[in-house]
Amino acid sequence: MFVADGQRVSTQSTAFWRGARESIGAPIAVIAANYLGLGAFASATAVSVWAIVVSTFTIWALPGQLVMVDMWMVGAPWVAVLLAVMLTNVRFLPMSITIMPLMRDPAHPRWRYYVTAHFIAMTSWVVCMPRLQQMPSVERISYFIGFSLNCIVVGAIFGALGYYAAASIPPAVQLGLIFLTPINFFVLLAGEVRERMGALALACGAIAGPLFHLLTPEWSVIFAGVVGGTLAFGLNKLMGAHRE
Amino acid sequence: MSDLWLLMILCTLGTYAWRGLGVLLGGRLEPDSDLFRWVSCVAYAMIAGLVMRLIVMPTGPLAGSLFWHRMFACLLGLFIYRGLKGNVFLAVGSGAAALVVLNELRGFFG
Repeated sequence: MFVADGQRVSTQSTAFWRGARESIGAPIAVIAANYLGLGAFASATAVSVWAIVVSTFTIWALPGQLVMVDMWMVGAPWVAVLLAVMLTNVRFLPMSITIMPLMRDPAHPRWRYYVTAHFIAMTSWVVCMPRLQQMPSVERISYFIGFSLNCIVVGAIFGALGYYAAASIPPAVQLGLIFLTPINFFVLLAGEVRERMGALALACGAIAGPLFHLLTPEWSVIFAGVVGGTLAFGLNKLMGAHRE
Repeated sequence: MSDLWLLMILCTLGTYAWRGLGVLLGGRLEPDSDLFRWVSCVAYAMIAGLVMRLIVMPTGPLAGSLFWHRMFACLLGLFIYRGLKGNVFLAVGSGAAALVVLNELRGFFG
């Protein structure tokens, strides 16, 4: 029993470092470039470099941080800023609902799931959803936190770098840096989709996103997700269960 | 403490609320149920919607580039990704570089 517990702790710590190591590569390079862009953007405002570094750890959602800095600068009312940030980040709800069942293991006390939830973000969700299913369930939380924490630390460092280096990044390069977010997710999502339901959800969302943005920019994320997702779910049912 | 820090605390709590609520709701859901499948469709559609919106109608510096240039860059990235069996680094890097070059050429030729 004692030996088994000892082994469990060591596999979890190994999984943590494996997660941290395996986050190094394209995903973390994109995060670094994105936060470089956020830092450069913030340096042109009255926001301090600490606000960027601290919010990277506490909010950990780039579009949300961008909205917060942008709206605070123009002096928008707090209620409006909070609402806008929450609406941009509503994607975390379905992401959290779907990744949490993968984390379940009798070894974890309940509070641990609530701590893990803070680390959910678009990159870690997209990259880790398939990876987690290939390891023992007890290692998943450690792997996921190791992966995400490395991303957060790198994001915060590059946010600060961008803040101080803004003046020396040519506009042409800034364009490329900002483009990395959409193209990274486009390639990852379109390149990795394996089953019909996922492909339908991506296609319906991709069409619904811009359409709803034309109608109502603030609510577009919610509407694109719920309407596009429901449509994809329904189409998948209609097509029947044959071969998938 | 300036008001930005207070606002940041609010935004932190507001953002965590979604993640925490997900734990609460996800704990009761069976991964093999229809409800779970529907929620994952919503998750993928939300992300695809947000990403496509950034490509089709961006704000900020990207708004100055052409739609067809952005679309070409994305498809080039996808093509390289599929061709090179999952090299995200090269795929995403080439796509972004293609957009920068196309945009600069446009500046040259008016």
